[in-house]
Amino acid sequence: MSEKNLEIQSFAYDHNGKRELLPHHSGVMRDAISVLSIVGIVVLVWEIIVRVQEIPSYILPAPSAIAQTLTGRAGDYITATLVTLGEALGGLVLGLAIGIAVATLITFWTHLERGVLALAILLKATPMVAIAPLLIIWLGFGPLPKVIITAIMTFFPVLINVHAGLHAVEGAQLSLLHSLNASRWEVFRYARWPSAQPYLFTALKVVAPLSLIGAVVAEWAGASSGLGRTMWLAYANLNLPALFAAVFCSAGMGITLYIAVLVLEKRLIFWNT
Amino acid sequence: MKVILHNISKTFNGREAPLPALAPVTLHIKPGEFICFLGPSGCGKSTLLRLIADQIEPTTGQIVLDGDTPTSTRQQKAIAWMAQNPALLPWQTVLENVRLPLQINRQHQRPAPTPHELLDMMGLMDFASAYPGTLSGGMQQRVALARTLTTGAPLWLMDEPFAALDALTRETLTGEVLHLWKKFHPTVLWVTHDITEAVHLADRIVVMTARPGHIRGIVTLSQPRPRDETTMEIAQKIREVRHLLRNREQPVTGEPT
Repeated sequence: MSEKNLEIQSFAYDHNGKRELLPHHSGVMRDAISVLSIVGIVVLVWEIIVRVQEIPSYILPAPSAIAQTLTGRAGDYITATLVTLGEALGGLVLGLAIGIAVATLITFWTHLERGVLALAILLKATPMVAIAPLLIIWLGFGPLPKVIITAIMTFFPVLINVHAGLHAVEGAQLSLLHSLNASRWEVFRYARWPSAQPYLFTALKVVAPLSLIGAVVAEWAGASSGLGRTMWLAYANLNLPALFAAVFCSAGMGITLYIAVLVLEKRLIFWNT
Repeated sequence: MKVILHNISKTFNGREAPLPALAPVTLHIKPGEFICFLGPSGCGKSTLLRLIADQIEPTTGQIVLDGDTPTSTRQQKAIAWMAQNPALLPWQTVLENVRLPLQINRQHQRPAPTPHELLDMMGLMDFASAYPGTLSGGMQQRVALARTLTTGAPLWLMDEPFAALDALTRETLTGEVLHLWKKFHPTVLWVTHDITEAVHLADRIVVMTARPGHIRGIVTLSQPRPRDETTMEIAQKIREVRHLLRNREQPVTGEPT
């Protein structure tokens, strides 16, 4: 009886009077508990191994030591994280804009497709580790080279996915638009662009965490601030607790960005059942 | 709209050899007539409809729609197209979907009921702001039907529009189509493989057979609608249609020697 009541409560009626399934609050709680307990166990095992084996902190610091570093220099880490996040988001926005623009371009002018894709693959295959110092020589230690490197790393998955999405329109929808004599622009506006949205979000899930890696790699090559610089300094001094602290900041931001993408996807692509 | 098909045929470029899909077909259709093209799959009936809809080009022959070409007719939004797939845009509401034909190719508009009137007519008013994904298959086709009417097109081309629906829903919707046809007097070209559906709807049933598709015979029905397939006259028409369909298959299924 009580179980049945629970089931009824987990449904709600939206404005169309249609019953829809709401996310279970107990489900969210259950996920959180599962994630926290697994992470907790890993951290605990890590701590125990370091203590029992008496591993020195310049080889592998204990989680407690990392936590101490983090809390002790919280202000520094927050500043560094914000700098890196800013560069990552700047590069991400630029990469998205370029990826979407190029995908749109080669959808309208299909004869450009092969040439443009070949160029994109060439750029994609270039190792960023080689490009990053060069850009820093050209553009200095400021945020600009970081934004550019992040953009180069992120635009390719966006281009490929959005391009696929723009061509994933149902044949029946194209027949309908053809029967109305829709222009190429109208086909794009009413069918292609909306069809590409789920594909764009698939790309975003890959590219949002990747943008942080782009920014950190670029900073590693030379920067006046940011998590990459913090990591590089810690590495040079064999200050492994500080290195790990910066890694955790970066990972935390990556997870946050990923979740933000998931939330946004759920709100915008509600029609894709 | 007066439809003249003169000797039209279609041969597709197959991978190895040319694929004749439709042998030359000649047919005259009067304005306001309800024509059903009936036959097994592969008999070229959908190809015929797509030729008239200007989706593909005929290999031979000529199609004249009120003295005009299919391309020019389509460009004036004078052809309403509907198929088995409702082709609704899932990111737009029911109302937006029904309004779509008015948003596109705006310089060609003709008198027609407004989207709101159409939703009301089709019993969809309560679902105006719903999204297609939340509707049943029957409701989705009802939305597609409403959308078909927004342009006020005098020619409706319908390629098995209700084939994917269950029998009861199909019956209800074909009833509604008849009602709308009486109200707006369009010329309807309706493709189906359902004999009962055809005898309920058509002024003339064009029976087609396969390989390559051609017209086997035409059955004319003058009985008033709604029709009852258990009456003598209609049962006789069904027998005629079956006879036409079966004739072709006898040599194929003949006894092995």
